[in-house]
Amino acid sequence: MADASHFKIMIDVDIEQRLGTFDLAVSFKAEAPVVGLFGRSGSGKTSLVNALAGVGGRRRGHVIVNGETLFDDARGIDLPPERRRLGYVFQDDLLFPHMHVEANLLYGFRRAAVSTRVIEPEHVIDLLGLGGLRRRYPGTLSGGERQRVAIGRALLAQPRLLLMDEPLASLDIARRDEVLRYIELLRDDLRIPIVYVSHSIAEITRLADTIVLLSEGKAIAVGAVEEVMGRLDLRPQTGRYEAGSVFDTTVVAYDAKYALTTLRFDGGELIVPNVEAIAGERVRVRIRARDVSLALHPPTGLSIVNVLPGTITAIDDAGGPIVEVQLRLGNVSLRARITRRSRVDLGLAENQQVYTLIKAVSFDRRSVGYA
Amino acid sequence: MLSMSDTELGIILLSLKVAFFSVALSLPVAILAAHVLARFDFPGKTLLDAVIHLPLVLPPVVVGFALLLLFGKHGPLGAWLNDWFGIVVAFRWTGAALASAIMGFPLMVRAIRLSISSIDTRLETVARTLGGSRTWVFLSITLPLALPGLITGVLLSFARSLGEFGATITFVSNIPGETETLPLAIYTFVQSPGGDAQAIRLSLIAVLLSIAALVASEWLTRRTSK
Repeated sequence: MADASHFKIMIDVDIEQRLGTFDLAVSFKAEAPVVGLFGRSGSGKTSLVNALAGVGGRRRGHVIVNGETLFDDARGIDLPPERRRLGYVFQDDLLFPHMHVEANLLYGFRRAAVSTRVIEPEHVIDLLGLGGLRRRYPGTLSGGERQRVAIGRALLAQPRLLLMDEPLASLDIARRDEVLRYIELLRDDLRIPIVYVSHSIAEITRLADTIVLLSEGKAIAVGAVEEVMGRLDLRPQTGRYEAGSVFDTTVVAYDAKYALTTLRFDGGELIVPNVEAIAGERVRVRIRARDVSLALHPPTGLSIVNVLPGTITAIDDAGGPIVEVQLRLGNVSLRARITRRSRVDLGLAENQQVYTLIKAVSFDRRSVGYA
Repeated sequence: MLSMSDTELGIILLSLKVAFFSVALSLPVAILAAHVLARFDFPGKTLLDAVIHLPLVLPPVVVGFALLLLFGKHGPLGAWLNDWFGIVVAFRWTGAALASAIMGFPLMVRAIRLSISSIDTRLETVARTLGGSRTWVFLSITLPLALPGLITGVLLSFARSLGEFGATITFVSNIPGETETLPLAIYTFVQSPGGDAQAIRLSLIAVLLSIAALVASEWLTRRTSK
């Protein structure tokens, strides 16, 4: 997304692999700072990540990352995992139980060529808040601490990108948010590209710029998160996705009296509560379609603080009681979910100018994150 | 009873020497075999497994006899060892160590294999993605994590060596000062008239040695599992 052009990965994958009765046949190209691999369990996410990392059996096809061929069976290229320089973070932290935290962190660092050492141990320890844990053994750490050490360990091996396979799945809800914040922090601070695997829409939308949707061992869609997740024809694979829109904004002001933050984006300004960010910071927001209402005229005497003008670009009317309306606010696209009766009563049509109403309280911590 | 004669001391030291070298000889091979059996699948694996376990089920005399045929002065392996390294094992303490090593080998492999099998293979995978070569991952991850099994294996094989009788006496005979280990000496005293007292003394020493070995291993296991 915006201002992220400095770090990016280009992945070109074409992999065929037979795994028991399951056939993996994934082919896609993606280019983004954070690529999300999304799919239900059993869709082949982990098999795909293993193919990238070069572990887990024989396969055909190719894997090209940033122009370097890591695997190509036709050309007889198959770099062993230790030479691929991909920092693999597993669902379970998999810390080495016989080493203390510092030895775990330095395991890959010590194996990395001196010329590639740009990520410094002290910096990572600082970033991930691991200073007090150096001499502790993995068995004495909490789940969140363990996963932070695992991420730090992967980073210090000086990878060209991080492969994160459901890194939050084995944590409880409270720890998930903690670790997610650390992941956002290191992405922004170290500018390291990430391939992020998850079956959680909330995590994918918060982190990823481009999404690869996997189903039954195939990549069935690749594109911007909101674009792919909003597609009605993919609903069987995306599930009953809480349809919405995701875009990046900049913090412009903070009202300490009411604890409200003003965010600016191309389509106007939004006022949201509970955002711990300072002016100038970029923040990503996600607005669920059901939190957006429409009006023909600027309303008055209303508790809703966010009222923004927009243009209707499309209306999905499947004949049921609910209709989804696609809008454009500046260069940002927004979805609204209204009843069919409202649509008829207001006489909504494409290219019509309307006012979108978004309740400030509909933003929660899960829908606002650092971009 | 409290003081040992020079002969007794000699027998004990010889037994310990034979046991020590038999463990030192078999440990590297056992680690390799255990790793291969625990981590790889290949045709003939069952056969290899069976061959490794053979000394456990064969009469020890058969093992000793086979060793005699192979490693005797004119046996194929014995001649080769003599020609190339100048090592003679037949009727020497080195032969006793070899016989003990082979008899204790299955016990050692079993203990180490069990330990390696219980290690999450994903730990090794992670280590590879962090830049570790196969060899380095084995040395830095697999081996340290298999340490409890290594200790158990070493102890079992050491104890087996201290008690080794049949294969030893068949292969290297019962030569005082060269191949007469503790069990062989006890056997000699039992066979000679009026040797019961000596046999009892040596038997008690064998009991003490065994207890010491058990206590030492328990202590080591507790230290490493911390």
